[in-house]
Amino acid sequence: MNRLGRCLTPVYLTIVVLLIAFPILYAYVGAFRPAAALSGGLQGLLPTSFTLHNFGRALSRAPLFLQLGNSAIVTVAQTVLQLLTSVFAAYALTFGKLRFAKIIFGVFLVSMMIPGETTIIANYLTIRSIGLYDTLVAVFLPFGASAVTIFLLRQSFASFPAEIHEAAVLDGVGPMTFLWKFLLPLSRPTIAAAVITSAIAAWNGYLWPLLITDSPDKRTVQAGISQMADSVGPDIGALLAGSTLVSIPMIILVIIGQSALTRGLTEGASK
Amino acid sequence: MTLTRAKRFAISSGALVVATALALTGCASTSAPEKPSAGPVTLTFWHSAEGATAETLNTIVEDFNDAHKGKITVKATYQGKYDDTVAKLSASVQAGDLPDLVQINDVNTAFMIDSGLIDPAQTLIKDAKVKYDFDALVPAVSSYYSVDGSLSSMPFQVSQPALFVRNDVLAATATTPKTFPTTVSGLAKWAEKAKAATGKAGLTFHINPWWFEELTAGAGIEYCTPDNGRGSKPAKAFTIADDTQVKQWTELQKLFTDGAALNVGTDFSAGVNALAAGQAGAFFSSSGALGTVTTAMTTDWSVLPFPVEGKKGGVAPGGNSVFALKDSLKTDTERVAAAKFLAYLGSDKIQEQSFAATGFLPTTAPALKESKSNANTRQTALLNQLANTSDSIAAAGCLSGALQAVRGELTPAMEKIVRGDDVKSTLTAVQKSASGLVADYNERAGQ
Repeated sequence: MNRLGRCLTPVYLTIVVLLIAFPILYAYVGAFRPAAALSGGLQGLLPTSFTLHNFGRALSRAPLFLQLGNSAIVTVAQTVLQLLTSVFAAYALTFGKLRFAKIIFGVFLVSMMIPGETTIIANYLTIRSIGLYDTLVAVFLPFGASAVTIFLLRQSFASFPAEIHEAAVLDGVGPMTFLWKFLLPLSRPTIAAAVITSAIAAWNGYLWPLLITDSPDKRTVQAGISQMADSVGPDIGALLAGSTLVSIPMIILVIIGQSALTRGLTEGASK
Repeated sequence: MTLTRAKRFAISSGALVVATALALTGCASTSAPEKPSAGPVTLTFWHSAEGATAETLNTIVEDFNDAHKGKITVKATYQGKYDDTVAKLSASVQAGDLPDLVQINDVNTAFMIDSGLIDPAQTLIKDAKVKYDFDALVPAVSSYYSVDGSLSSMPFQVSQPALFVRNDVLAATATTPKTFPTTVSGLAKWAEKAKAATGKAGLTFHINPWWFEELTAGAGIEYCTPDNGRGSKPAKAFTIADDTQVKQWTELQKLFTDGAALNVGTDFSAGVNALAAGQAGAFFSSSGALGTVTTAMTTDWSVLPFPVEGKKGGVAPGGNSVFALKDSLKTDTERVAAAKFLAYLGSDKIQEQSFAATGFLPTTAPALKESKSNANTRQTALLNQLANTSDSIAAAGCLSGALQAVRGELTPAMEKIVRGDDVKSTLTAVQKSASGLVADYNERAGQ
């Protein structure tokens, strides 16, 4: 049985890898294939000829490079802002000796259960009333604080050994030093997971950036991609070319941070 | 020392975010659009055109701006899919800042009319004394986009369904475009024959409520009552489980269970691929996809009319139209400018240009005639179908703000039917929930 299991594992893994990698391979190979080859089934993917036309069409329909830059700004700003607010909130909830820490934490958790779509109109009206409509700031500002990130960090901080904290306090270490010199370095996997999850969410945002901006040069790349092809006249080639360009930064980020991501997401699971 | 460094880091990273925020806002506020009340007029135009269609739309708008240099500038901006545009429009109503013109798809037409936001196109153009021949509109198009005999919006990119058929399968079944069946029963028999002759499915279409609505219109049935919602009273109920509809879908269901029809799911492009790869002989398509299918096909194929039965039956046009919004058009100069742009979109020249570039059908009789003189066989088939479409109430399609919600119920029902569930009980259940949906909508719309 053990030997059989050892033989079957690679087979199983190969199948799973193929299943997961196939759509990505399809997009990357398809992006370089002529339009006609993409409508005739899988044989169209055979690398008989290559073209860059799809990229040309994709780039002519939306300023994708500029929008890639916008997405990068939004992602960095949203992630940094979210991390700062979450670190302080989680610290206060864990070590702040607040009177109603549990109730406040509960309120944060409840806000996770309210779907984003229901608050979209209220956010829209707020952003318009403070004159930020059609700006990049408007795209990330409402997401400057995140209950999910606060939750992740709070769970990690709560498992921090109380003795070390007490010893540090007795030695005269102030709260800020404790936070930056002790707590954060030891919570690195969780921080990395929080960075990656919030960066992916910021990068993938679609409806909100579309709603709160008007000019193509203020939009993020996801809104640009949706303009590549319509439902009755799907220009698959341009769509794949655009998606390929857009996916590259996120894939790089995940490759760099993947070990931290898995460690962070499973941290606390065994406690 | 360490304390100050940690503090400094916290403060500097906070300051970085604030500084970036201020810099970005500062940048943006200088380029915020301003709308002058006198002098040159700038009209904001929200649209949902994507892909190649968006390129054509942008050219059309640029040509208009060039012709009205110094007087009118239309600023066209993409706002996502139609439903995204409608969502943004709803949010903008509360913020009190609407665009001047907006492109909306057929399904949301009734919602726009009921919203009370619009400046009806026909009245606007007449008031502004802009020349436009409303009588020249193709009857089927004008009846589809009119309420109480007057156009509420300017039909812009109109489409109709049609049957796209592979010529090798026509030959295998010994049929020609002339002898091809024109009814649902005839089509079902042909699909079985194609399956027997080629071993592949005869028919395919993506699972979409549009086909249900079109087959209903084709059978001469009013999809919603009274009067398909086009009279003075709003629609109160939907007809979904009528005997004819049950018969149509029982016949289609048999094709799916026999393998004479191919289930490609809800994805339109999967249907195109099935036709191109020869996995199906015939395909229900939108005329708007003519270009896409032409690129995809490597073998010869024909465009044939969508199945229509009886005198009352007809193929309801779809597509989109452009609405003017009254709250944004405050001055007479702005109203005249908007009227000029709408009349330009519906003009013979633009309609011909749009048909040639995209496959969306011309909306006026002169544009239809002119397009025909330059058309190839497939384009001619589409133009003939439009010209021959009856302007009956059934063929005008249903006008109800609940249409989109009913579509939401129909999609899973159609999926169940093609998988073999009982047709009559499935459709009756949808009909029942549709009555609730339309009552809800009418109540919300104050009707």
